[in-house]
Formats: sequence, structure tokens, C-alpha cells
Amino acid sequence: MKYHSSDDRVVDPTRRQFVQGLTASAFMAGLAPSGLLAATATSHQPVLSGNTFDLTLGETVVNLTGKRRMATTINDSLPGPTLRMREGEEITIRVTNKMSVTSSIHWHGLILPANMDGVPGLSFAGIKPGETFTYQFKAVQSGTYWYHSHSGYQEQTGLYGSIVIESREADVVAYDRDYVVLLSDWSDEKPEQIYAKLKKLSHYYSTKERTLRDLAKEAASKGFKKAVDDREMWNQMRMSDRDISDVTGWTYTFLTNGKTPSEGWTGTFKPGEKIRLRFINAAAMTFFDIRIPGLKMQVVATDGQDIQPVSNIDEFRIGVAETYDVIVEPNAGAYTVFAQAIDRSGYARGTLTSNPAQQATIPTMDPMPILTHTDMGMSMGDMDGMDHSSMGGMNHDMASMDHGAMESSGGVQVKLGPQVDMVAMDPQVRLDDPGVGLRNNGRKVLTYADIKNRFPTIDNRPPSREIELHLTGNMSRYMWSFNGVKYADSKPIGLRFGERVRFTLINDTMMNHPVHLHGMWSELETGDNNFLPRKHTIVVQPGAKISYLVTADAKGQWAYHCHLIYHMDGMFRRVIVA
Amino acid sequence: MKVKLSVMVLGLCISPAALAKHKPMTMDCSQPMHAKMTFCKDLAAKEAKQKATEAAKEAKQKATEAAKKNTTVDHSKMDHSKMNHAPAPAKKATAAKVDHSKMDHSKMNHAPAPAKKATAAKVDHSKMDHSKMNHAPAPEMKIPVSDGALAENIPLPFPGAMHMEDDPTLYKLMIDSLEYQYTDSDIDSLALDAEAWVGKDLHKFWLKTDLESEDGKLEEAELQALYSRALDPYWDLQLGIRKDFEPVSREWAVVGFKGTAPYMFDVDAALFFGKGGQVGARLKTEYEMMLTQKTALAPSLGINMYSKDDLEAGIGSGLSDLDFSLRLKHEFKREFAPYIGVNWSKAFGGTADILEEEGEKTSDTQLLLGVEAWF
Repeated sequence: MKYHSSDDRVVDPTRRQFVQGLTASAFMAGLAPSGLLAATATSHQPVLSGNTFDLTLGETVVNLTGKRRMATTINDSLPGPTLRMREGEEITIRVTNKMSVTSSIHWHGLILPANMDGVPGLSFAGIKPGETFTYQFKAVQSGTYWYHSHSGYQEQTGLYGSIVIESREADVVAYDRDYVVLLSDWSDEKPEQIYAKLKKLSHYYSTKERTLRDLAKEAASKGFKKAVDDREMWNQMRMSDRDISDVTGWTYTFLTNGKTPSEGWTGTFKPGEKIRLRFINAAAMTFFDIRIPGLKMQVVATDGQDIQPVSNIDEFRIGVAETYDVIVEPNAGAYTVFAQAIDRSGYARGTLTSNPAQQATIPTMDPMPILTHTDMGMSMGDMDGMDHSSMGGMNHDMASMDHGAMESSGGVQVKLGPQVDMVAMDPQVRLDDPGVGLRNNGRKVLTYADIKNRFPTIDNRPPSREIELHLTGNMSRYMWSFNGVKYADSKPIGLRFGERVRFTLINDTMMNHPVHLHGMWSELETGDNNFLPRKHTIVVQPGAKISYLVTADAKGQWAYHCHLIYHMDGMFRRVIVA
Repeated sequence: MKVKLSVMVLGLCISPAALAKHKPMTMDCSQPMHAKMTFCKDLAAKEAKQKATEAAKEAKQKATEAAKKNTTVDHSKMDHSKMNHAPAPAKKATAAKVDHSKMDHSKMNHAPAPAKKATAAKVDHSKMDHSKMNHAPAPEMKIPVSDGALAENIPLPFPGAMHMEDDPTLYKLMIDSLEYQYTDSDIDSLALDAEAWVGKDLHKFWLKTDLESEDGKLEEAELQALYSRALDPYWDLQLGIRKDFEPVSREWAVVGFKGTAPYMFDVDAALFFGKGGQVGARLKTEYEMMLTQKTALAPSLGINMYSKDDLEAGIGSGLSDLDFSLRLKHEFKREFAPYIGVNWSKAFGGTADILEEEGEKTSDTQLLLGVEAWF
């Protein structure tokens, strides 16, 4: 099978050598006198194809914002090269660490032996400076995936790239051309500095706090008393309804395939072509809401796995570490691929155009979302209108909950204390909720309820048991945990080899958490048990509950964690399949 | 809620019949491949619990049906008042199996619901090798529904830190106010209110200082050194010592609470225990009202009280002094906010008397020009 790679050359993925893609993103470290990442308008992405790959992890000076900063790079590229491989092949990837600190590469979403998963401590000892680690595994799946460092905060500073695995059979989705659209967030600040700031002042990066003007506006629209009353719960709980993202566009520059919004990434097409866009959220902390004004999208895959196509989609939210593949069929012209950050503090963008000289207008961002009672895990009937008659009682509940442990509706005990600022009172399964900021926006927005596997569920056994975990935290102290217990104090989760287990996650916090289980599929219970979609990363909306089934078919020790980089050290568990 | 409870109670009484339908669970932990015996047991217990949960559900359903058919159950002999029905489906199943008529329910402790009970109720013991079982209850078995955690920790298979420390040792230096205080008299003063901490999420070492000088002479100077421990999501308990250098030397033991009160008031409240039974109390609170994303109006209130007179220090017993100020800050960056403001202060009772004797004012209004900063 032949296909067009993103740099518009015809590439045969079955060739037994790797092809060095055009590293025209101008990482000319060592070549260019300045050693800077120049702002170029090219759409070329480095691409490596075949079954044997050599990756070198290094430190490269980049300039994405006008300031020179040291980035961690792969083959001198940020993002790293796209790896194109073919299902069924034995893959060899030699990763050489030329950085001064230990590193690692994790192949996100790939089903492989535990010792190839790339998590230091669990899979291997990491790749020490100067060392080469050879990863060897069989590509047992096809689709869009990605890879990233699993050491420290290296992912935040650039160690990530995309993986495209061509199907061994003819692809069930027909397309003429495909592009990887890899989204990420870049900061000129050091990740350690960001983390320290969050610990010292958790709303440090908030750019849209409530002001007196908001109260005045609300008072004008619904009366002063109601405006004040509506603030009651938030004030009692010492929380902000604008706490959407911990780290925002204040420090982040959002990138599309490594390109800043001012540069913009460009993909070209010929009118009439079917284009497959492979969206990957490789950001450290940022959820994106993606739309292409003027184009309807057909969503055909998520997390690399084919789903029953969902047509006429205007917009979808992509959680950190998720992937979505969509098909678009544009007429001649230019279209903006618009990915606004969930808190609307900035956006990443690209252009699809039939004429490289032609660009499309960039839409304005939507208003910043405001959290509702639904997002706080309180069922209050409708989402935006709230019934405050039961408010007094609720505040009482909140105030009286700071005793040793609190039992949720499901029966799991959350260890309460300084590390937990809230437990969802009435968490709901909200699969058909597009999420805060996307509700009733006049566009057709994809939800988890729309996602069904293209193929029947393989393991039809009912789960033998249920593992319930609360996603817990204290925003103001900036502490994160599962069930009120952070990773450092936790014991591993045990799964017996071969068993089928239901994981139920309850989000007791005010933000979305993307939860990633390594090594095994998370089969999201979206309504049809015969067609459970297989995902590697599940977004749990604030105040919501969600469940998925896991067949423990991979022995070994695996990581299981929130994929937000500044949450994961606490919101993490080791899973042992034995 | 009452309806739900009564249905549950019915479930407890009727369920043996429903449970009888459930086959005993067979465990296959005797195989040599199951090297980690406790792990295996752990799983077995949890699976049994799961079964028990299902059984309980079924029983509940039966009970509901029964209730609909007006089946009467004699509850009169049971003491239901002490039963905690809220948690632990597993526990319900356990209770469901036994004959309630012979039990003194008042002594039942339903809260922790040991999974072992559920295990005992459901597992076919004939197939298990009990000699290898560790009968001491694993601590997490008290959790009524599984969080999946193993009974024991298993060491990491490889060396090498996986991540950054989630709780690094950090420090923060805060100049809460460094300001010139202008009054209508000729005496202008310079005041510093600063704090610093070093430590981790839940345990920190704090330093606090208050300095005030008039015409270049240090009039007031105190330093506190405190151990700070997080008590709950929003409050820290702070214990330590305070040393006054000016106007007179005094030593105090400190017990304080620092945190955020509802409505986002920053509060620092402390009791000071001095020599000779002197007790002082101080409350400092501030509220920041954002006018724009950068500008805030911040009212603050400070109150000092003492149990005894201390003439040398210029202190009278009772409410000693109160100050209220309003600062208009502009955050050039989060860490740096110059401000203008006004402060009104008044001395009361014995403290006011001492001031009057010394010919000083007991009430004062000052214009403030200063800066707030942190690192």
C-alpha cells in the first residue's frame, strides 16, 4: 500500500530501511550559526519510516517565543520525528541519550511487553546519559499513537513525537492523504519553576479571575441578591468557578506540529481529496477544543482504534494524551484548523489549504468556560440553571466532611485530610456531556456517548470485580492523589493475569483528568457492551463518574496515572498483573 | 431515604433464600504458579466481596418485590437503631447470611466491614489450603469496596526514579507589606511585615517578622519562628516562639492558626503565652477583591488583646488596639504589587491610657505607600 506522508512524498512503509524525513523545521543545531530554531513557514515534519529506528535524545536551543531556551529534543527536532511503521512487523528502536540526565521513551498506547514500555523503575532502569537502549517489540496494532519521555518533566520541554502504524490489511477507512496534527504546549519557564509556582500560589497562571465587574454584571442581569447567593457555594468552598486549567496561555505557547500560532502549520491538499487528520494531544497540561470552520468532520478513530464513524461533527475536545482521527473532504480553499485551549487562554492553529499561498481567517476564541454545579459533582437538574433551594444543606455537608474518611456513594473510602478539598456529592455518568465550555454552543460536539468500537468486543466476560478510584486533590495546596492517597504512600493495584475488571473513576476535583493505563486497553463503557471502544487514555470530567473494562492480559508492572504532568506524581498507581 | 432504609432492612431479613441460589466461589490459589500467596488471597477476598455485593443486590431486589407484595416481617425483636446501613454492600451480604433472631445487633460494628467476613460467607473452604493463610486482617481489607490495592507493597523491579518528587522542599519569601506610613504629624514611619517558609506540602518552618521604625529609630520589632502543620485543606496549625526586641524584650510561646476562611478571607490568628501568665491574642485578616485582573482592593483588619497590663511594653489588659486598612494594589506581575492605601488605628482601654499619659494619640490615620512582593 502506498500513501502520502505528511511531507507530500510517496512513501512505502514496507521498505526495510528507515528514511530520514526532511528536517526542515530548521533544527540546525551545529549547522546554523545561531543554533536557533528559526521561524519557518514550511509544513515539513521529520518522518522516519520502516521497522528500525534510531532516536537521539538531546538538548537543543530553541526560540519559539522570541527568547532562547534549552529544549529537550529527539534527533534535534521538537516534536521528535514521526515514526511510521507497519502492523505485524518486528520493530527495533535504538534510543541514545545524549542529555546530561537519565531519560526514557514510553510508546503511548502501544501494546507491548512490560520491559519495553519505557517507564523507569517499572519497565527498566531508564536510559542513562551516554547510553543506548534498544526497544524491540512487535507492532500488534495499527493507528495513530505517540511517544514521549517518562522521566521527570522532559515531556514538557519537548521529548515527544507521533507514531503512525499502517494497517496490515487494507485500512477500513479510505483516505487519499493523511496528516499528523500534533498539539503541544511550550513554556519558556522551566517545568520545576512552574510546579513550584503552582505550589506557592495555585492560581498563579489564572488569567481570568473573577472581578468586581463580574459581580456587577451578574447583579445587573439577575439582581444583586441572586448574584450574591449564587456565589455562596464557591465562597463557602473557597474555590473558583474559573479554575479550568492550572497552567495557561499566560506561560504556554500552543504548538501545532511544533509551530507557534503566529507561524502556523500548513497542510496542503488537492480539491476532492479525502484527508485523514491524526490529532494527537501531546501537551503536558492543556486540553484543546478542535474545529475546522467550514468543514464537517467524520471521526473515525480514537486512541488509535477504529470506531464506528461519527459524521457531521463540528468540534471535539481532546484530552491530554488522547488521539482522534478525523476525515475531512474540503473543497478548494483554505481552512483553519483551530485548537483553542479549554480555558480559552490561547490556541494552536494550522491551515489546510489547496493553495499554499492562501490562508483562512482565524476564528475568535469562545468565552472562557465557567464551572457549574454539575462540574462540582452535584446533580442540580439542568446544567447551567441551578436550583439553590438545597444550597444550605449542601454547604453543611461540605463543612462537615473534614473527618478522617468519607464514604462516597460507591462505598470506597477517600482518605480525607489536607490533601483533599472536595468529594463529589453526587457524581454522575456524563458520557453525553460535551463538557464545560462546549455545552449548547450551537455546534455539534463529539461526546464519549458517540464512540462505539468499529469491531465487536473481544472479551465478553462480565467483570469479576470493580476497582473504584476517586481522583482527589487540593487545588490550593496543589496536591493530587487517588482516593486521597498519593502515589508515594500507595500500594500497587493487583490484577490477576487473565481477569476482567471494571475500573470506575470518580472525579472529586474541578478539573478534567486524562487517566492512562499502560499495557492494556481501557474499554470505555459508552453504552453498547458489544462494541466497547478501546482507549488508552480516558478523560474524567470534573464531578463525573466513568467506568471501563480492562482485561489483564499483559503480565508485569504497569503505570496507571493522570497524564497531566504536574498531577501525575501524586495521581499515580502501579498496576501489577501476575 | 426512609423508604430506602426499610427496603434494606427487609433485604437483611429475607435474603438467605436469595443467597442460597448463589454457588460457592471456587478459588484456585493452591497452584504453585500463584507465588504471591497474600496477593492471591487478597484477590480472592475481593472477588468474594464482589459476589457478596451481587448477592446483596439480588437480595435487595427480592426484598423490594416482597415489600410490594406486602410481606410482613417482624422487626420488633431487632435493634435496628444501632445499625449503620449506609456503607458496604459486602457487609450486608454477610449479615444477610446469618440468623438475625439470635444476634444482639446492638453490639455489631458495621462500620469497617472486614472483607474476611464476606470471604468466610462465600468461599468454599474445602478447596483452600488454610495452613498458608495469613489470618491477620490486612489493613486495607477494612475498605468496604475495592480500590484494588495489594495487601503488601512489592518493590520496584528496577532502580531509577520514575518521576520528580511530587512534594519537593520549596521555600517562599513574602513581603506582605513594606510601606511608608504618612501621618499629619511630622513623624513618618516605615514598616515591614514579612514572612518566609521552607518545607513541604504539609510540614513547613515559618518565620514572621514585624518591624516599624519612626524617624530612623526602630520602635517595634518582633520575630516569630514556627513549625507549621497542615490540619485540613485550608488551615495550618502553627506552633513556636515569638521574640520581641522593641519596644521591650519579651518572649512568647505561640499557638496559631493560619489559612483561608470561607469567602476567601486570609486569616492569621494566634495566641501568645508570655511570662507571668500574660496571654496575648492577635487576629490578622485580609480580603482581596479583584477589580480587574491586575488591580485589587484589599481591606485588612488587625486586632490585639492581652490578659494583663504590661506597662513597660505599653500594654493594657483587654482589647489593646485595632487597625483597619484599605490598600489598592496593582500586580505588575504576580510577585510584585505596589500599592497605595489608608490605615486607621485606635488604641483601647489600658493601652490607650498609657498612650495618653505619654502624650501620644490613641487614634491615628495614615496614608500608605508600599509594595507587596514574594519570591
